[in-house]
Amino acid sequence: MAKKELDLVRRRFAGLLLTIFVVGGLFAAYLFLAPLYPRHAYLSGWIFLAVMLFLTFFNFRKKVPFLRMGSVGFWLQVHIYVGIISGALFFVHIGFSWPHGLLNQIIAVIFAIVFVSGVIGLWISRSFPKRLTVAGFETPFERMPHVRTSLRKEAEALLLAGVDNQTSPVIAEFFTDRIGLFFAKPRNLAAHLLRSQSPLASHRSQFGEIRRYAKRTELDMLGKLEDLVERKHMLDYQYALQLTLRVWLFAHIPLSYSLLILSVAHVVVVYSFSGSAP
Amino acid sequence: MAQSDTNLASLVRQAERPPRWGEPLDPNMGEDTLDMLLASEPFSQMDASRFPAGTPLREILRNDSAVREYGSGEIILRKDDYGTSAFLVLTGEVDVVIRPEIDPRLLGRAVRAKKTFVARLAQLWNNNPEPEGWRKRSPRASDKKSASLDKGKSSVYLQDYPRIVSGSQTAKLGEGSMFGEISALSRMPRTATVVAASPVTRLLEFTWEGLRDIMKYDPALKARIDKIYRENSLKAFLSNHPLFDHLDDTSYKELCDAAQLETYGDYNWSGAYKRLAKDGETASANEPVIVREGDYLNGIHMIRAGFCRVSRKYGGGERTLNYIGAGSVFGFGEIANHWKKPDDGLQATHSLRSLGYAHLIFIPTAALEKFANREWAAAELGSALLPDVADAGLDEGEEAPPAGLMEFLAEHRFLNGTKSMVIDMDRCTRCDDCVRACASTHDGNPRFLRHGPIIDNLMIANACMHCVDPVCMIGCPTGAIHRTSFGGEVVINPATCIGCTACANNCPYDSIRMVEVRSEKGEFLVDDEFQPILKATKCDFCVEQKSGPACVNACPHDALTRTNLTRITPIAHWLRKN
Repeated sequence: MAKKELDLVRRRFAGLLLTIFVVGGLFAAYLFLAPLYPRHAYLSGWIFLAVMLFLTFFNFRKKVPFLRMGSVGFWLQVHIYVGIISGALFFVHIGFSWPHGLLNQIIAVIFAIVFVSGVIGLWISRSFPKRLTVAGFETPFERMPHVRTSLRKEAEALLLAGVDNQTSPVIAEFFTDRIGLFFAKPRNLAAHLLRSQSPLASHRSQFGEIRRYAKRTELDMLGKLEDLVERKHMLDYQYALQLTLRVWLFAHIPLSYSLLILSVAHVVVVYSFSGSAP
Repeated sequence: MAQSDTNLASLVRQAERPPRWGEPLDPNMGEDTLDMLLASEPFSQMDASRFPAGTPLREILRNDSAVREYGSGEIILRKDDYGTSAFLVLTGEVDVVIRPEIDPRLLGRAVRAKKTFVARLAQLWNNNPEPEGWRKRSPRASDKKSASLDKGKSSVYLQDYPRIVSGSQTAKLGEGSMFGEISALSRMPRTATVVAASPVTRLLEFTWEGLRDIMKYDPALKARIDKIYRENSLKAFLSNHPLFDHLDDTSYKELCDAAQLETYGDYNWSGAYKRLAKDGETASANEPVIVREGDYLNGIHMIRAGFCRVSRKYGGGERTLNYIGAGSVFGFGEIANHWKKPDDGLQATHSLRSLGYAHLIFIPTAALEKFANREWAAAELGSALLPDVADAGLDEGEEAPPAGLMEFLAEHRFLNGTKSMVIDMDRCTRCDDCVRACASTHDGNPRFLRHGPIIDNLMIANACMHCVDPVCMIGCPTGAIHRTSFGGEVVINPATCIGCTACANNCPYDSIRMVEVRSEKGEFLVDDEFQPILKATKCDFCVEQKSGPACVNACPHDALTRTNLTRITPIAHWLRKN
């Protein structure tokens, strides 16, 4: 039984091959059959609506994990391939030209956003997990505020324990001006998404600088503080990537529903103003 | 102050804490029956004054036992089922079917109750609005106390029973005999099918908690059960192993006399492991060595229960090559090789260490030479001079998991898990769809944390692993945590859980969470002293869902699996597939 299961590479290859075949078939049909059937847009329109309904159904599938309808993993694979096909179908439906009329143009723009956000979502859901795993400091998203607060309190406690009347005000100022706010909330999200090391390098440079003015007794505390800063960078990295993995769905899903509603309106309008429609 | 009191009152509702004996095993147990039991053996021999005032013998019998009646041919226990009760024969006789086993199709196992399509769909709107709301009606089939016991689901008669068992070797147990206690106490599956042999067979069924308490305060019963354990378990184990399953009764007796029972580690190993982990010590340094590499081998070790690490010297340390569990044999390859090539030495080629708790049977070489089934051994070993322990259990062409992963699994004792949640972090998008799916099938409260130790790209999440040896069950005072009889999944009955936290404290993997119980209106339930009423919750492997575990079904990226870590094959296979 185990050997019969298709491994991941073969499964993806088969799905991709089938998708290419269908997309190729659609374009070929458009090239050769469209001139023969001038009202082909009605047929492609209905198929396109059905495809969009099917794609939207994926979200419902996710809500009912207790029903025996195949795993969500299988549904996602189908969602991806049908999503790609929907792109080809869209071009066939609009006849490879920019649509006329405000409603049609809005639908086209929303479809483009949904499609592109889906592609971006696919790309980040394939690439970000590996980056998160390699980065370390794995933290569940919901626990991040708590971990952030813990780091901040640890840093403040470290400073308070290491500071007395003899301590140079330079350290306290350094913490207040440069470090304290850094612990307050997520920082450098764009830099982390782009894998930039410059915020961390900047902090390291600042610590290097402040060490010149620190007393020997304060160096240990500064070392520990620098460790905490590095952990905060790791937490921010996790936050930036995990947030992005969640946020793209906020564009993809609501716009999908909007698209569906506007498409129904589009059907009503088309049939209202074309008396001889099939 | 008055304002805050008002707010508090609106948030909580006082309720009674569930008592240990809130749900007796037999609600109809009468005083006459109790008098009769206390007047008969072995209870009449017990010193009632040894029992503490809180758990007197009479109350143990009243709440944790029930008198059952069986007709001739009626099945009492089925081999390989899990059960948490033991039986004492009051009148009549029972047959313990030893070999050959009864055709499983005749045993009439009931089909596990699953939710219907409508019931599953209704979870969309029928779940409590508040997580872990306490309902009057029991929401889960496995919540019923009877579900953890044997009577009530086994009223199946073997038609023409004498003919069915005519070719089988059976052992008759009469009045005063006890059976089922080993499985109940050791959390292992039943080793034999037991059938009522008399027209009217009356049995006293104990919950294992009741039996445990009686053993605690009556040394004679404890000694008796230890003796039964030694006699019965040794023979049952050896007769089920292909190395010795061809022997007759006389040979078995001789073999059993030569065999030695060995126990390594602490039976309640969870506490010891937690202490080690807390102290930051590596587990391997503290594992008892059973056989050291290079030592002279004077016999084989058969693992009866628990797990052992097989390792080889590597540089200054030990590299784990495999871990082996119940039914495995260590040292046989070397001895068989010595039979083929007597000039070769008879040294152990690997070391064997106990992981946590291990119960072994040692068979000396002399007994092995006399009784072992050499034909089976030759077929098993094939042309190989020595079995490659690192590849044991793998399919042809399948690679063993990386050595680092093996070390990790052994050191964290994850090899105890039969349904461990393993997540491929290179594919997991941290979307928590698995957590939401779990919540949607469990009253709004997810039964696991998507968090846990990570090795390379694999996370072993804090989800109940449904262990081979569920140490969480050891301290439960009410038996609320129990195994289902079919798959052996460890489940909790919220109706009898008193929130004592024993199971959560015992679990070495932090897979059991204590949650504050709420009313249907969302108020936190508190006792007379305004302390919250707690309930233990954990993954039940979605035993009632036809679609299987919701977490696996819900993962869009096929990053999550529930796998058996007691053997290396399933994880090796999953890693290859992924």
